[in-house]
Order: sequence, then C-alpha cells, then structure tokens
Amino acid sequence: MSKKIDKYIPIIVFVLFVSVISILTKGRNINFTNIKHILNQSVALIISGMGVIFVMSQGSLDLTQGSILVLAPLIGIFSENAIPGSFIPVVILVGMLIGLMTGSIFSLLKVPSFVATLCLSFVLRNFAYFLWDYIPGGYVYIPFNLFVLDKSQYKIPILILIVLTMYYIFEFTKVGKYSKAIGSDEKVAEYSGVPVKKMKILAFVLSGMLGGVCSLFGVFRAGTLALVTGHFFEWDVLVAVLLGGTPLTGGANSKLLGVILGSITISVINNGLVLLNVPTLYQQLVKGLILITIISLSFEKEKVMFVK
Amino acid sequence: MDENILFQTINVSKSFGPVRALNNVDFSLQKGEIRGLIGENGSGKSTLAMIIAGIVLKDSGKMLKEGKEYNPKQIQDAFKNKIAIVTQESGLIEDLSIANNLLLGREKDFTVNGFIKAKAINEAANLMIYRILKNKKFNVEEKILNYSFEDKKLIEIIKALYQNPEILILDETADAFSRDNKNLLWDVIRKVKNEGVSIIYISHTISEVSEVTDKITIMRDGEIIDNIDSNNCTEDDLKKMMVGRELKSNYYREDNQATFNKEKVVLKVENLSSKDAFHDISFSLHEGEILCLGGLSGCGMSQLGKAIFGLLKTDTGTIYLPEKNKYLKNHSPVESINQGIAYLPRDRDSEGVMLLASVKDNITLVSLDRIKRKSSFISPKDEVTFAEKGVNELSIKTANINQFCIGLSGGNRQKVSLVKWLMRECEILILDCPTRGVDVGIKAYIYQKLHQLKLQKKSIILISEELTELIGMGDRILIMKEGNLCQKIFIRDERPREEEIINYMI
Repeated sequence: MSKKIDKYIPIIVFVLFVSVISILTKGRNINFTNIKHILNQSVALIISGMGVIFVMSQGSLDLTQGSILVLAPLIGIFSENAIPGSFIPVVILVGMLIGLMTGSIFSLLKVPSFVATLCLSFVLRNFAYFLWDYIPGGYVYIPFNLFVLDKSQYKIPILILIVLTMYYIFEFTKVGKYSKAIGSDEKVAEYSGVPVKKMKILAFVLSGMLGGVCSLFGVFRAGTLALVTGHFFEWDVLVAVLLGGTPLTGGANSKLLGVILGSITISVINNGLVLLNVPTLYQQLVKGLILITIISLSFEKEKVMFVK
Repeated sequence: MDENILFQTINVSKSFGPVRALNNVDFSLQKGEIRGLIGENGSGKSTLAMIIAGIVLKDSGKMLKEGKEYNPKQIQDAFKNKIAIVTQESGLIEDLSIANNLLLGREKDFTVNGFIKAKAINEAANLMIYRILKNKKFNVEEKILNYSFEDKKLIEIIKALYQNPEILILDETADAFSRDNKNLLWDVIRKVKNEGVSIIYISHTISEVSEVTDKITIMRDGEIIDNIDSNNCTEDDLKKMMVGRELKSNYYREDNQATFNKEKVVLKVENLSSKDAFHDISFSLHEGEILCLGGLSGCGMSQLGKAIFGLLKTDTGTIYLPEKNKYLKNHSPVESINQGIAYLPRDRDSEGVMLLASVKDNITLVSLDRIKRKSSFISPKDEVTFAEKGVNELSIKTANINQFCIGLSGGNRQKVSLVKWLMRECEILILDCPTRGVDVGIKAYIYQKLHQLKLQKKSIILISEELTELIGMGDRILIMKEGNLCQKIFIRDERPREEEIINYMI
C-alpha cells in the first residue's frame, strides 16, 4: 500500500460507506433528521476517541471506555445523593481515577494493555452490577436540571472546545509528541529521555477523563442509565480511531482529527445497519469484518519486524 | 570464458523507488577466492549481496553460476545453488538452543519413531562447531538469546558452512567483532577457501579487507569502480576510490598532546559497581577532554556508559557532577539530560533512531523542552527550523525533513542519532561506538565534529572497540577488562601504541 493512498483511506472509506448505505436504503439515510441523528450519535465516539487516541498513538489499546460509561455515572448518582451538585465533577474524577488505575497496572506492572484493559472492563462492569443493588432510593436519579446540557447550543461549543484542546495537546505540546514517539519506538524514546511510564499513565488518565465526559453526555441524552449502557462501545471507539487513519501500532502517523471522520463513519455504519433492519447479531458480524479489513489495510507492514 | 569463474553477474540493475541502488553491475567471482567488497554506505554492496543470495530480486540483468543461468526467487533457491549468506541482521531464532538453531529444518534426520532425539541433535551440533571453530566451546543446549552478538554471528557462520556452500557471503559480519573473534573468523575463512569455497567479504574496515582478501571490488553509487589485487594497493588508494575524492590519510585529530582543563572535573565516578556488568570503577572526566574507554566486547564498558546515563541500575558507588554539586543515584535518563548529559547508544536502529518517524521528529525529540515556548506551545515552524539546522549541521542526506528514517542509509541514520544530541548542546557526551557501521567519509566527519566539540570545552566519554579510534581521538585512554578498570591510564602525550594497549585488554 503506497503512502499516498494511505493518507486518503479515511475519506475513501467514509465516502464508500455513505454511498453503499445510500444505495441500499434508497437514500433514506440522507435527510436532515437522520443526518442530525448520525452526528448526534458520533458525539460520544468523538469525545471518547479524543482521549483514546493518546493511548493508541503510544501503540496501546484502551478497552475500558464502555465500562466507564456505566460505572462513572453510577458512582456520580451515589455522590449526587450525598452531596447535591457533585454529579459532574465526580463522574469526571471517577473516569480519571479509572484511567489512573488502568495506566498504572499497564505501565508499572507491565501487563500488556490489551489484556489489562479487557480484564478491567469486565471488573469495572461487574462492580457496576454490584453497586446497582445499592442505588440510593432504588432508582436511577440524574439531576434534571443538567439535561439542558444535551441541547445543541451547549453541546456543540463544549465538543468544539474539547476537540481544540486535545488537538493542541496532541500536536503542539510535549505530551502529544512524546506519545507518538513512544508509539514509533518505545526504546528509542526511553533512551532519548522521554518519561515513558509517566506518559503512559497520563494517556490513560486523559482517556479515562474523556470517557467520564462522554458518559455525562450519554446520560443527559438518554435521561437515564442502564446496566447495558456502553456495551461494545469501546470497540466502536477503537474502530473509529483506526478508521481515522491511525495505525494500530500508533506512532508518527497517528491522526487526532481523523477521529472525527472515523467516528462519523462508524455512526453512518451503525445507523445504516439499523435502517436496513439488520439483526443485532449480524451487526456485530459486519462490524467485525470491517475492523479486520481496516487493520489489514492500515497496519504498517514494515513495522511487523519491530513488533514483538 | 575463463574456466575458473564460478559466478558472475551481467548488467544487473536494481532500483528501490526512485533510488537506483545498482546500475549495470558486472561482477565475477573465481573459485576459491576471498573477494573483498567495499564502498560507502548506500553504495550498493549489501544490495548486490542480497540479490546474489535471493533475498532481493534484481530488476534486470543476468546472473550465471558455473555458466548456467541462475535466477533465485527466494533465499532457498540460493541454498539449492550452494550460495549462503550471513546478513547484517540476525538470522537465528532467539528462543531456541544453539543446537536447535544449527539443525533447524533437519530434525527429521534425528527422529526415531516420531520422537526427536535431542541428544543426537546436541552431539551433531557439537561436532559442527568443533569442525569449524576447534577450541572455542559453546554450550549447545543454551538458548541463543543468552549469547552475545558476536557469538550469534559465529553460530550463523557455522550454520551457513554446514550447507557446504560454494559461495559464502559475509555482510559486515566481522566489523563489530572483537580482535579475538576476528582472528578466529579469518582463520575459518582461509581454511574454507583452501577447501575451494569462494567468499564475498563485505566490510567497512578497509585495513582488514586488504589483509584478509585476495582481490577487492570497490563500489560507488551503485556501480563497480574497480577490481584490484589486495596486495597491490594501499589503504589510502582504496578509500580514495570509495569516496571518489582525496581523503586525508589520517582523519583523527592531529595534535599529540592531551589538552584539557586538568583543574576542572565535570564528572566524577567513584567505586561504581553494577552486578554482573562492572565492579568498583573510579575515574574523572575533565572539561574539554575526550576520555576514551576501550576493551573487548563484553568487558562492561557499554554497560558503564548506560549506568552513568541512568539506563542501568547500579548497586554501589557514586556518580558526581562537581560543577553542579549534584549526585546522581538511581536516576533516570530524563534527569541526566537535565543535568547536561547526552548518550549516544551503541545499537543505532533499535536504540538510537525511531525508524518509523521522520528525520524531524527524531532530531527534535530530545530537545522539545528547549524548542517549546513559555506557554508549553511547540511551534511547528520552530521545529522545522531546528530540524533543518540539525540536517545541515551534519549534512544528512535526506529527501526532506519529513522523510522517515527507515528510508535513510545506515550512515545517515547514525548522523541523525548523533545530531539530535549535538543539537541539545549537552556539556557531557557519552558516545558508545559512534562510528560503528559507517563508512570512512562519515567517520572522518564524525571525528572532526568530536574534535570541534572538544575545542568548545565539551567533555566526551568515547567508548570504542577500535584501537586506532582510541589512540586517534583520546586525551586519555582507560581500558576495561572483564568488568574491571585497568590501573594503567594511557595519556596522549606518551603516544600509546596499539600493542601496549592490547596487552591490557586481553
């Protein structure tokens, strides 16, 4: 695969899926309401992806996103009950703490990120199951006055602010540059004075924090929380980042802004599968095939010899 | 046609993208000769070798072996035609024992009733090693990964010879060897030559090439410049032909005196020990000094360099920076860099350069906190300016600063690895074999640069296995042996001779 084509894969894939789904649905997907719906859906992926990209640019994975989506708001509910008004900060803090824990297990205990975060996603979700029985008052209460944040006039500026901040950190500060260096070659990065362990933990904290923010918008939009919230969400984020042109091995070719396009593409696919009445079971099948295709196309083949 | 010609290439060409690696190369090899193949980095030596060995496919041209057309599609085709190669990269499986590596693919011969007889394999391996290396002993049941780079290469050579090749290609195999192993390797080469094997010997160490070979082929820019008899040429002739211009015969510094500020110690190491690596090391580094650290491979000098920089844990002893009144203990590279210490690692491709990142990203990596502005903002413009300055500083040959380092030749990768530290402007530089695997042109350039740094009052610890380099560049030379520092310190004023130094090394 030549470098030149590589660059345009995200756009090609996007156009391809939009066209195929338009043809199959006879254009039902292209109307104002549906497009708005798709964009609305992609907001969660974009926010979450803005954090996950830091982890993935280092050549690692974060599969805890989906479980953060349920656990962070759940703990927020407990906190809101005890200290009214603490919902938002607590949810974000819980996200960060989960990231800190994940990052520490991965970086200090040297458990590969795939294994560490996959296992943790089970642990966190199970912890949510456990807490569920102790919800104060026995029902999910999310402060109504916060639902206003789901309105476009608040949501869009917040989204733009998050993207710009993360873009700045990713492209114009040491944190982003060190992250990409770790993905390019961890050993060289260490030998060049990059604080590798610290950066790895920091990436997971960022990822957890944005996972928390993402969960906020999730509950404000849905108005409630369920135990199945965020099931398989982490895989959608993963595919969104990959569809955005970031290689699975991370490194210098990681693209933060690509996450936006990747997220919209995933939302288009999800939305299309629903419009086409594809049963849930087959939806996973289709997405699995897409993931494999994308990875085989974007994986930096030269790097195989350096990846152990 | 000459009866003795075993192998020849006719008009062989090869391009990698826009780069023409070989241009109509006519090369012929006689039966039972040792042929040296020399040239600068990127001159096409390795490409030619890999085409002959079937690892890389030629674009055009013809190859003949014993008059018959030979057109390998993969390395196995070369084996079938009795051509074996030991490449620059490792060709062994790290997790397997020596015996299993040597007899990989031949397990069938040692299988009885479906069971592989490990003992039989080990015996056969022992025999193979004995047949070729005689006195050198290996524990064939030990995994390859527990052996040094040199031992691995020796095992690869044994493996290659086991196939009874008619042509054996050694691609820079000896260049990183210690004196002992070089001698051992040369004995092996001469012995198999007498058995009728032809050898293509690729190397950067010109003096040794003329010593060990019968005839030398010089390549430049993908073409063969000349073939000359090894007895019939001087080192300077060869270098001149390689580079295509006159080179100073002595590219080391020219003064004969140790010139450094004896009053001002910048780094003081006292009783430093690290388990298994080195013991009780004490020395001082002065301002403007090039302190050379020499020894055989495995003597612990590389580890000492790593330990000072904070990449290896030390058990006892101190590292002290008198100028800053600062002790470094269990420190990280981050702290060393902040204290003005730079470290050029020995293994360029796995420790020095991010191959899958651009020249720019590589050069700026250690200096990001210098490039960044007050607000922690790193301006892309500043980065470009910084990287371009670096590229010009060492005249790095690259299409542009956004090119990935994997596309650069070995010598230019080494320049990137070095220049990122030069640009950081550290006061103390620890350089582990800075000229390993680079050609004479770049070598001369690096030496010149080191001398300039010295004149700018920078202090350098130069770790090297090359005696001429130690003598050529050092103000003082320390020798390590089996993890210990020898008492004797050689001083430039006394003009130490190679023989003297060797005595302390072995």
